Formats: sequence, structure tokens, C-alpha cells
Amino acid sequence: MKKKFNLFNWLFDGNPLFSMLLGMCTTLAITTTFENGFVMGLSVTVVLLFSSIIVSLISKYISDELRIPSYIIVIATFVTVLEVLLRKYSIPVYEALGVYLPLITVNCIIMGRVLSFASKNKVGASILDSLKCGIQYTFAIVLLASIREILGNNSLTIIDNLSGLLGFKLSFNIFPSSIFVPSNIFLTSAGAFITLGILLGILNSIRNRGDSK
Amino acid sequence: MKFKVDNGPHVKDSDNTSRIMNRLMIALIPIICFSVYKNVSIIYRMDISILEALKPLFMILIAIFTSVITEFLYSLFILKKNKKDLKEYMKHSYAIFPGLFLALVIPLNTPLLLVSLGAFIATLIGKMIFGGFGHNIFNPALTGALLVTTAYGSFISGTSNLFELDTIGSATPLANLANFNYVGTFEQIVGKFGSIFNYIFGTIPGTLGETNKFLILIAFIFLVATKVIKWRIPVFYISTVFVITYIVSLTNDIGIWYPLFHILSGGLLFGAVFMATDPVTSPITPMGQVLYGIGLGILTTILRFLTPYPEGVLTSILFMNMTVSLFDKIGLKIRNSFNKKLIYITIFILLVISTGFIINKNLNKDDSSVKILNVIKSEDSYVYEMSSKAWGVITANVTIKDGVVISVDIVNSSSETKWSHIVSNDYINKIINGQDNLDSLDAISGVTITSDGLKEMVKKVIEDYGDKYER
Amino acid sequence: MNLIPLFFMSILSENIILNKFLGICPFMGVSNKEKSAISMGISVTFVVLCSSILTFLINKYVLIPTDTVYLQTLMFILIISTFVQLVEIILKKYSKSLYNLLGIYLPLITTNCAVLGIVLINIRSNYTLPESIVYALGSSIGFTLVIYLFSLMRVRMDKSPIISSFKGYPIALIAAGIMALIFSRFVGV
Repeated sequence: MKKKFNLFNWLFDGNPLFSMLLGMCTTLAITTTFENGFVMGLSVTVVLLFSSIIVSLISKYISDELRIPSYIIVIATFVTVLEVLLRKYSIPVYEALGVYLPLITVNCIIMGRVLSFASKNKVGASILDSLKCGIQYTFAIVLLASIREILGNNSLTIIDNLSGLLGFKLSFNIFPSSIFVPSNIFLTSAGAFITLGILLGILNSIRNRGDSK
Repeated sequence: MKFKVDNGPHVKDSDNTSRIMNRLMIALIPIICFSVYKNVSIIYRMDISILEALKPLFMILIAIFTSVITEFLYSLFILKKNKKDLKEYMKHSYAIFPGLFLALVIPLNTPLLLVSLGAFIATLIGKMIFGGFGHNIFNPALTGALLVTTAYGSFISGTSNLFELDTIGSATPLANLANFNYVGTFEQIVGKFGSIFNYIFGTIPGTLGETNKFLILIAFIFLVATKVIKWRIPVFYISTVFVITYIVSLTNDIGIWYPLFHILSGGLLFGAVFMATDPVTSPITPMGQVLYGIGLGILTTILRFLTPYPEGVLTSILFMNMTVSLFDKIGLKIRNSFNKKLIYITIFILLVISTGFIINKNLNKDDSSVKILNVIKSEDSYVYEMSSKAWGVITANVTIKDGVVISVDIVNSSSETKWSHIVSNDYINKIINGQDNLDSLDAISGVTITSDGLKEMVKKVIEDYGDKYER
Repeated sequence: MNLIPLFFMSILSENIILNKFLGICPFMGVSNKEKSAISMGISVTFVVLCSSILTFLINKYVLIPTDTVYLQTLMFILIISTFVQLVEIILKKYSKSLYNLLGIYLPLITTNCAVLGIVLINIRSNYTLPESIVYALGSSIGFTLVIYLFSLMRVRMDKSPIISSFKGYPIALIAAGIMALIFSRFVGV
């Protein structure tokens, strides 16, 4: 019983997306399939991890005014590396992420985390912190993506764009079409906003009920 | 002294609000009776069972029922009201109205389950979640209608529905207008549905609330006489639409029947009298109402003429709902100064007139019903975002590579399009396979206009690509 | 691409916030003061416009010829942040009043998804210089419009008895969703 309680808290407390509402731009745009969400979450985690390492190493040598520009350069470098790699090894993924891949550079999560934690802590702690943050974010984005894809397309696409790399496809249809009819609206922008809004509201009420106990 | 404007409705006590709502109900009853009777009689003539003929009545009943239950359950479980409070609350919350208005506004072809879903969404998202009666920003019924018709539009005109008869819920006059590129002769635009009297007395296709303009007018007079309605809004709304369409008719040498037609078709009268004047989602100050009405008129005409969607009232009202506090601010500022009033009125009149001319200019320029919205280049192909005025509107992404169209992905199709026919005939693949000689490809019967629209879309993409990108 | 339809499209049916999801951070964080919404809008417009022109030129005359297109992200973000710093310094020195009006938002704009996003979209859609300028201008106006409208709505929403778990972000997101749906109906204008 206690272990389950801790997992929920671990995932949601301080969750960059759900608690602090950061990084919404890329999240809302990308969560049309499970796979896209997962790939984005992974990308953000990777960039965050490496950026944290570098920042925590160099932060003592950077003056206060130059902080933000220099950190951005660090982040942008890793994003560029990621871009080049993806373009080389998996074009479908690269195209699915579209313009939101380079936009990871200005993703508030990474900048926020790096500024508030990595720049003030040693490398080891930064690695752990960024991993935790990345996992929380990936979990959140995958949750949203699953909801949107199931409601919007009655499917769950786990491997599709990555099939070139991994060699197989994997996707499910969830409900039989006689019971549930999906609606395209969840895959549009309006659906994204409303779904996230309702999801957040429900999560908040769960948390409130937990607190008041 | 600075005044702060609080939420509407501004009433001295709760009795006043109930008076307003009761009068509103009274005003609506003749309209409801008429629509139910009209649909029953017409269908009865066509020999359909009584149960199906009474569908309009069922739509209204199920919508009201869903709204009330939704609100009741919400206040019981989520707002956690106890029994005593609950009774008081329900009395003053007027739960039936989102559902009722939804049923009066939604297309007749809508399956009953969707009507119920719409009422549920209208009540829950349009009203309750924003804080209940008096606190919603958007008109609840319109929010529900928009969400449901966007989400499940294909079911509203699919073959699963028995109301696919020619005289009911088929092409409305406005959809027909769109097919003639908005200007034409009296016969083409008005005549198809009868004389002007048909429009006034409602024997034309349309939703439950909107068809009988005469009864709406009577309702309006009744509501003004009992001081229950913000009369400035409908008056200026409708006059603005009249003026703008009049300008269009003047510059195209068409008679006065054209602006009259515009006023008498679609949901304009019903929306202006009943929905735009909703006390919670409209301005309070007199000048604010005037400007609000004019703004509505401008938006509706822009939407009717320049977008593929035939009806603009729903979107205009929802859009203007967002601006209510702005207009109240303006209304407060200028209420004592005649000069300032004059300035604002002049600005708006100028806007109105220029809208008329802008619309006109856009009309004559684009004589094809297919529009290229955007072109995006991806790795080695071009993606064209297209919109086509088929029966209703279709927006699609057409991907062309090296001069050959490789895919057509439909983004959106409006509720009037009988999409199921297109899908069952695998028409899109036929178009792609036959793209070298689209003129000889047959359209599917029953959806000829949509088929032609799709063909035109692909043709235009091929043509544009050849002009611009082929070297 | 015709410039006028492009202009209106970037404001309405392909609105940068409601359709492309860029610029949500300032959107959610905007207070209910309309003045600050307008000020932010003006700052954004200015930065976006100039950055678009600069990045277009650099992309065309430096990156493509030297085959270093993959450096786009780095280069553009450098341009944007440098430009913003420059503007801040100039404003501070020469026009205190303008600085006070716009200045507080300028540093935020660097990390604003919208600016980098608009610039990248320009490049990826292969817009010509006039098209880029029009798109940049239109997008910024669309951005300002949405933030402004939302600040109007915020006034009412803050006073309403919304249930506590939905107050703040959830209800704002739902309202944004409805706004997105409304704006998407303006297709073809």
C-alpha cells in the first residue's frame, strides 16, 4: 500500500508538465500518437540530461549576465546534435516531430531545470535530477498522448515511425468500433487544449482529495 | 468616479431573473409548436411512421432532459450541495435552457444520441464548469453545438439517418447560396425554395428554431414590450447585415430581395433575438450593446461570404462573447459624452461599409470554389492545404511529389457532406489513380458536388505545382 | 502564396497560439490587465519581425551557400537573444519610457517558443522575404489578439465560482480550446 502511494507522488509531485505547466508548446502539438509523445519525451530527457551535465560543470565560470545566453547555446548544441542524428537514422521520426524538434531548445522545462538545479549543484546530483524530471515529463506526455489517440483514433501506435530503425510495427486498436466511435476532434488543437484542461482538473481533484485525507 | 462592471444578468432580485426566463419560454413556445407541426405534417405526407415524424419533439425533450440531469448530478456530486440547497439552486439555475437552445439550433439530421451528447457538453462545459448560471463566458448551447458538430459531423449527414428526405434538413438556402458563389438571380438563390413568403413563414429547410421568421418577429415584439430583452443588439446586428449585403447587391446590380434574403435565411433572426441577447453573455451598457450588435453583423457577413461554412451566426456570436467586457468598458466610458459616441459610431459605420466593399472584392476575384490555403515543402514533396466548397466545406492536405499527387488527406469535412458515400466508393483512390485525366472520371451519384469538389482540388494542385515548382 | 490570404490566415485559422501551440507560456501567465497584454504583443511583434528578416538573410546568404543548414537552430537562437539584448540596451539608454512599457517582457521573449517558432516556420515553409515578413507580422498580431481576448475573459473568470481543482490552468485551457475551435472556423478568409 505504501509503495503505490509513493509511486503516484513521485510521478506527479513537481511534474514539470502537470504541476508546473511548463513545456506545453511541444506537448500539445506532438501528442497525437503514443509514439510521437514517447519520442518527444525521450528527446527532451536526453537533451536535458546532457545539458545538465555540461551546465553543472561550467556554471561556476559563467558570470550572471551571461547565464541565459550561454545555457541556451549549450542546449541548442545538443538539440542540433539530436536533429542531425534523427535526420540521419530515422526520417519518419524527424518529420513527425517537425518544427517542434528544434523548439526543444526553448522548451521552458529544460531551461527552467538547468537554471534552478543544474547550475547550482554538482554533476552527480544534476544527473539524477534531470533523469527524474525527464521521466516525469515523458510519463505525462505519454499519458496525454494515449488519451488523445485512443479517443481520437481508437488506436495506440507504439512503433510506427521508428519501424525503419527497429524493423517492426506495433499498434493496437482499443475498443471495438461497435461500442465506441472515435472523434477526430481530439487530434485537433481545440481537442488538445480541452483534453489537457480536463485532465489537469481531474488530476488536481485527485491530489486535493489525497491532501485533505 | 470609476464604475466597475460586474457579471450579468444585472437584476435587482431573483424574481426578476425568473421573470425574464419565463417570458423567454413563453416567446419560444409558438416557435417550437410550429416546427414540430411543420415536420410532422411534411413527413406525414411522405408516409413515414409517426414515431420518426415526431423526431423534432424528441430532440427537444431529450436535450432538456439531459441538461437538467447533468446539472442536477453536477451540483449533487461535484458541488456537493445538500438536499435543501439543491432545490433552491435548481430553481434558479434554469437548467433547461442550454439543452433547449441546443435542440433548436442543431441540424435536424442529428441523431438523438448526439443531441443528448451536445446537451451534456453544453451544460457541463459551456455552463457548469465556468461556474454555473451567470458565470459562463460563451453561450452554452452554441458551445455544445459547435463541439458536437465538429466532433461527429459525419454522422449528422450520414446514410444512417432516415431524415435524408429532400424537403427536410437537406440543403438549406445558405448552403445553396454558397454553390452559386454568393451572387445569382432570384430564381437560383431564392426561388428554389419558394417565394419570399416561404421564408417568412418558415416552410423551408432549416433547424428547429430558425425557420419561422414571422413567429420570431412576434416573439421579439413581445419580449421588447415586456422589457425582457436587450433590443439594441438584434436591431443593430440585423441592420448591419442588411447594410453590408445591400452594398454587395448594389455593386452587383441585384435587387433589394438579396439583402432581404440574407436576413430571412439561416439562423440570423433566431440567433440575433434569442442567442446574442443572452443576458449573461452580452454587454450591459447601451452603447456597448449597439457596438456589439454591429460587430456581430460584420463578423457574420464575413463568415458567410468568405469562408466555406455556409452559416456564420454561430461562430460570430461565440467570437463576440469573448469581447463582451471590452464593449462594456467602452460603453461605460462614452455613456456621458455625445461626441465620443459619435466617434465610435462613425468608426464602426466605416468598418461596416468597408466590409461590404471588401467582401465584394473578394467575391469577384475568386470564381472557383477551390482555394489554396497554404503550401508547405517537406523533404522532397509539397503539401498543399486546400479548402473546397463542395457540399459544405472540405479541407484537405494534398501531397504532390515530382508532379504526381501521392495522397489526399482529409482534414475536415462539414456536416452537410455525405462523406460515407465517398468512402464506400473508395473515391479518393480513384482520383489519385486517375489524376491524369480527371475530367473523364465520373462523380458519385448522390454526392456529385462533393465529388466534383475533390476533383477540382486535385486538379488545382497539379496545375499550381506545374506553374510554380516544376522546372 | 498570395500575401493577403496569408496574412489573415496567420492571424485567424492558423493562429500561432491556438493552432500551432507556440507562445502558451505567456498566454497562460498573462494577467487580467489588458495593457500588459498589448505591451507584450508589441514587444513580440517587434522582435519577431526583425528576427525574421535577419534570419532569412543569414539563412539565404550564409547557411545555404556554406552547406551548414543544420546549424539553423543554433544560429537563429543566437540571433534572437543577441537582438533582444541589443534592444534592451538601446531602450534603456535612449528611451526610458519605452523601456518601461516594453522592457520587462523583452528577456522573456528570448525563450518564448513563439519567436523561434515563427522564424523556423518561415524557413521551413520556404517563404520568400515578403512572405516571411507578412507571416511574421500576421502571426504576431494573432498572438497579441489572442492574449488580449484572453485577458478580457480572465477578468470574468477570476470572479467566478469555479471549483478549486479547475481554477487557474485547467479552466484556462478549456477556454483556450473553445477559442481554438472558434478561430479555426475562419478558414479561407
